[in-house]
Amino acid sequence: MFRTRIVAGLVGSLLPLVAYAQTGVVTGTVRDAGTNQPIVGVAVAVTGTSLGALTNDRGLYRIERVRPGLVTVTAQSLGYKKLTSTVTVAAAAPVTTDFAMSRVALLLDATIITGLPTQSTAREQGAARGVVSAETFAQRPTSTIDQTVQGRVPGVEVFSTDGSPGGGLRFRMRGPNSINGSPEPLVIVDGVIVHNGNRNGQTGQTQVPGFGVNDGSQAFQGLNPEDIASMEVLKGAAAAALYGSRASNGAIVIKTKTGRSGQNIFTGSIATGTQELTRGPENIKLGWTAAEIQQWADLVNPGRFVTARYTPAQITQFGQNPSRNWLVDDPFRSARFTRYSLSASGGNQGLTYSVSGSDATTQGIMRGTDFRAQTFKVGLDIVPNDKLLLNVTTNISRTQRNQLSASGSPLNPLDWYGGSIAMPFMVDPRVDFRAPTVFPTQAFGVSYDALWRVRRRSDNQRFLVGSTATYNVTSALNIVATAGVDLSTEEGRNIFPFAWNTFINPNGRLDVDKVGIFQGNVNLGVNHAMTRGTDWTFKTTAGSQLEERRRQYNSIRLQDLSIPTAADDRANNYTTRADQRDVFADQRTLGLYANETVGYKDQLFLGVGVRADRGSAFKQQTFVYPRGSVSYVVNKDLRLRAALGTAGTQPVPYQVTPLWAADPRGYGGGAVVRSLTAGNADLRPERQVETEVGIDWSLRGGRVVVEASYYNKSITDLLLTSPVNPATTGNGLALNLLNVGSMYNRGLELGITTRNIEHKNFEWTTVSSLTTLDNQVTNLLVDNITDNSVAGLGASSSFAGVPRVRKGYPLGGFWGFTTTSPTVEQYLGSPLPKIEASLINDFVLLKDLKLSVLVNGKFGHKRFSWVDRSLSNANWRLHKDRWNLPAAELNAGNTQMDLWTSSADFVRLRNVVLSYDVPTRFTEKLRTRSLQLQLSGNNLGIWTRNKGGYDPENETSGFNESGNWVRGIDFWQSGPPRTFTFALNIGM
Amino acid sequence: MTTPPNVLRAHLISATVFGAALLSACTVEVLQSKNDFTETQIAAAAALPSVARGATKAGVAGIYAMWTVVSMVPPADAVAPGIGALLEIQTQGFANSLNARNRAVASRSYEALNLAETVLRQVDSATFSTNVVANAKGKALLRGHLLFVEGMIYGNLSRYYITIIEHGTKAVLTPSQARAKAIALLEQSRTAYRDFNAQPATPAVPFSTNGLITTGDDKLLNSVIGMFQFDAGDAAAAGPLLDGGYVAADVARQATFRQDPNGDFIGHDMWTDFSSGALRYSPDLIANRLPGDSLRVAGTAAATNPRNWFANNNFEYYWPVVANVPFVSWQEVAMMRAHLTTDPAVRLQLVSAVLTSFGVSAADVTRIVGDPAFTNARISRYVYVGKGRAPISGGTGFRRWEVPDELTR
Repeated sequence: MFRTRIVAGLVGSLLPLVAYAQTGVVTGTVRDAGTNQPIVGVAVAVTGTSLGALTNDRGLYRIERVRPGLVTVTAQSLGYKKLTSTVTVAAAAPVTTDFAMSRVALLLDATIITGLPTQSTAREQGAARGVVSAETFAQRPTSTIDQTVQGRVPGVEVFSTDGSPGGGLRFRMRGPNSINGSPEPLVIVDGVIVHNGNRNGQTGQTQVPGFGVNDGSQAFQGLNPEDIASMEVLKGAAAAALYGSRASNGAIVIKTKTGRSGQNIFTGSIATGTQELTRGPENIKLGWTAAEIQQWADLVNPGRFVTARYTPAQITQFGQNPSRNWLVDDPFRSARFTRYSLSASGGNQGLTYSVSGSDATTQGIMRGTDFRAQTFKVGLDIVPNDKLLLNVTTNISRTQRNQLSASGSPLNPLDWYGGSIAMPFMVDPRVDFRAPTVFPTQAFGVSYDALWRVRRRSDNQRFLVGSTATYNVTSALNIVATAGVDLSTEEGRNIFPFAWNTFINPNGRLDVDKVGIFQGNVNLGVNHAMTRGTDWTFKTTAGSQLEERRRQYNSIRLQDLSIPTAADDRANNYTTRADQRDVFADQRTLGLYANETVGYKDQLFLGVGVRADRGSAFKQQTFVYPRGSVSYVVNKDLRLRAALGTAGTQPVPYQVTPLWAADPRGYGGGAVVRSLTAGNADLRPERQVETEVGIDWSLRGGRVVVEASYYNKSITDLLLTSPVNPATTGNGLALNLLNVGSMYNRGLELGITTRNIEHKNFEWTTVSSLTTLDNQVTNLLVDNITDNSVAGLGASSSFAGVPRVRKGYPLGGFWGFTTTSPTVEQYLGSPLPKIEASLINDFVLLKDLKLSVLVNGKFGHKRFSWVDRSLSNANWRLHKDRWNLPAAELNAGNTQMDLWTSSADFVRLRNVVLSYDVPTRFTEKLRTRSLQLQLSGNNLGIWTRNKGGYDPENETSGFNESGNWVRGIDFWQSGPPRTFTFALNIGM
Repeated sequence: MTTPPNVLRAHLISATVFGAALLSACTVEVLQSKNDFTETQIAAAAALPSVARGATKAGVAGIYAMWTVVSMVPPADAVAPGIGALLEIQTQGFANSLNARNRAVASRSYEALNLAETVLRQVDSATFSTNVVANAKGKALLRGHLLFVEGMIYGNLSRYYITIIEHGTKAVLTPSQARAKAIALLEQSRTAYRDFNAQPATPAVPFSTNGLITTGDDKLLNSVIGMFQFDAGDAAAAGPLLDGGYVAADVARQATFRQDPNGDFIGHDMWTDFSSGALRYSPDLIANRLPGDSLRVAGTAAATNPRNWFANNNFEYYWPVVANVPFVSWQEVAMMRAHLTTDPAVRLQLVSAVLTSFGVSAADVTRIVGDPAFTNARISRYVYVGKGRAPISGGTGFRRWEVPDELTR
């Protein structure tokens, strides 16, 4: 209600300002000063008003309803020097002003997009920002936005979790920034702060097992990549300080496309392709001879229960599939991907619109998995008068995802192959199907095919609306108000359509949970600019941001049912409701910010700013985040910059105040209240101080552009769910969230763009980047943390206790006994890449044929192969080099963690796109404006020495947000698929 | 492009004032929940009985965890990693990472103490009923029950821990100080239960008494206080109390707690390290301990052969049956009295009654009570097994059957 009043009040107060008067028209053409060719998409605007237009494909623009008198018109476009012209507008006749724009190597005049109502240009900034343009999205027809970003922004590590469709990717900006805090960046779409948490991350409630495990960012699922106008990446506190206590992980700011005034434009695209597994475990023993199988059985049988030993008949059967790799051949498939998109845009000077819709269906490469995303977006720009601009963007989406049972469950078929000690891999499971439990003689009770019917099914519906009102009070002062709402529901179902354990689930089970998330923000900002004399400029920005996150969680477990039919499923027609939970969390933050940028001679810019946050996560404490920056444009080819900023990470709600919960099991036949959280009234946000220095340098007449930055993030007050003495916490809880330590991330980012060949019929551009990361936990108030001691640290105990948090070592570094050190644990390496590099080569042939090749790699990190360790188990003996070793050696190997830790360095042919723009002379005959054909491939090849399990880029991670510090575990997950896509884009 | 500075100043001033007002007005709730509670909510009169049941459930879970560990872990295991330092709660800092069991004991015990204190703080000012008698009965019952739970927690802590943290003050107590505190709490419980029992039969307690001890009386308090004195080796103090404690005829009204694998205790952290990993039951334990556990007697047919539960599904020894476990049984009281008495006839009567109650045949009873090899301590093992009780004098030995057919041999 509060928000509604604010929005209504703002809009209401601004509407009376709408006024009309007799007006004139400014028109003209914008051309490239070098080639004299018209430039498309140049933003031409009347300064101090909301009036503006984009140039069309002939370089023409037309701005109507301009007040008569002397006005300043600016033209700006990325890659060109901004131009200004002063003209006198008359009420009657149009006035013409043309622009001839010169190319610049350093893109200093690009307007910075922010999720806050601030206005700035790259020239004024002290911190580097990553940008992914609309062109990049348009030319790379991947199924999701996050795939497009992979490898393109220096300092942003994007990694896969399980490779299943809809699972999302995870982002780490300049290293890990937290232990238990949410590690994902703040994502802002058209001014709306969108929910970007893993499922179940905020409350820890997880009734439907496995949901949220290995999920990556959820923010991009409901966005159509073709709707993106630009994506800007703020990598740390230096750039994101004005976002305050949620910006420690950086921020991704997305602006979607808006319409242009003029002719209505219709576009359509079809993309279709296939996906497949990149590779399977390479150390599995295949090609067994009959003698080897007999030897294998003789080695394995003595360690098994007498009744579980392999019989001669079974051994004979094994011999029938001596090379069959059940870990690859059976669970995986070649899967299809299709996406259809339609959009329309157009309008006039007073109203422009864009409407788009898409429907994408992605089969997973693992049988039984798939993902469907349907999106619908409407964007309106309304210009009631020359003072006011209103923008409303609405995005409605629905995503549906089918997954298999959670990894780690005996009912996950891949685990069943990989994790079962009962089943040798050369057995055809359709013939000899037994329980994947410690009781290998038990009949499993269900057929092999039924196993594939166990599903985790999620259905996410999302409503995203952002509205912005910009009111130009004077030519130097404007007020920007933004209200955004992200409303989403996700229903998860875990369906076990059969009994598999007579004790726990005698008749199958259905778990249902529903998460409802409201994420709203209201921003109000004032921007003021003024000059003093000819040399000094002052830009002042101040504003507020009120943000609210609500999360409602309901779950129910339905069991003791007969095998549910589809009708049962729909009707929830089950007999026993074993457990039910209902959680409601609410978190609000109010931030106030102010920033002052002082410019001298358009060369030197000093910026200082501050944000103060107060919110429910910290019991009404106020935290202040200052920032400062210097940017010195030495000349048109050289800029030096430095920035310093602070930002925070909020803990999840529940942690500050002690809470109690209803215990659903009761006691003695009565209702029970139990302690839920210990509460920590002294909790502070994690605090990141980032310093950054950089240089932007153009060489050889702009043919080579170098951008280099050194960053240093110092993170203090790390949040960690820590073991505490339950006798002293007051309410007996043995875990509490504490501020326990500090950590740093340091590194270098280097980006080099070279225009190698610029010929009218052939262009070749290379964009290369290199990022280094040095991460270390510098202080830890708790004892060195092992998985055993911190029950709150996610699923790490599933990974043999190898990932650790230890002072003086990288976060999540691997530790364990080794072959040479059987009693003292040794450091085995870090899962964090020390170096990430990428190389993009773009070729343009005859202007219409384009080829883009992206190669990237990660180096200097390790991977712990649970897969290899399992294959070497004395009861399995399936590792190709270790299957016939003595049992004592294999058993010893279980704790010799150096055996399973190896380099994860890789170089990957990430993306190849070949596109062809059909020439106008043909498209005109087809009565279309444009026609483009694209052929692309992702993850086409990989070069690595890592032999462990599936794709070396896959990383099973810890459970939900608080376990995300665990990385680099190779645990029966398949990794990102190889894809081939064909796309057809038509403009009308 | 110029703007008079006063315009800028005016905007900055108004923005600052507006911002400061917003910031200071931001008093937002941390959490609202449909089934979670803030401090205010759990302190409401309507919630207090549920909180009291929470204290009971957590408290008996803590006590039971102590019994489980002490009764089942042989001395050699007690010093092994995972159980090491079992009997010492750390007094400061973070709990030892290897001391997971210890944390479980303390976690449940201190959660119980916290919940109990919450109710005891609120109970005087709470109004459960407009009926004066009903209101007084409700208050007396909650007081008696919670003081009893607190007393039992401190009493058990004093048995097994060499340092005990006092809830609230965080003071470090010795075992004798903790025992004194336990006894003081139990005496207060006795007073409250006397108040409760002195009230007219009607009207009833104005809230559900499920899970609360409504049979609290002098016999219960004599039994448990006597037990703690007995364990401390204070025969002079223990004797008169135990003489006024439970006898066989009181079996129906012994105060019990409910052990229910499908409800009350499932999922608690009392059993995990025994059900998985390195701390599985040893064959020796299965063979020698499980068949003789008196707690199993009340179980179902399937439960009467614990070996089957274990062998079939590796499930929990302690969890397959629903049982009402006495805080102190009349058999325990009888065996303590048998040890303290100097009259052979009294001992004969007490021990015979105990053995008979466990289904030992009349012939075996006669043989056992006449055999000097069957000392009180040895027979008491049968009574105490599963509870971790010291047999007589707070010694350091662990109860364990020497042979499987201990009492029928």
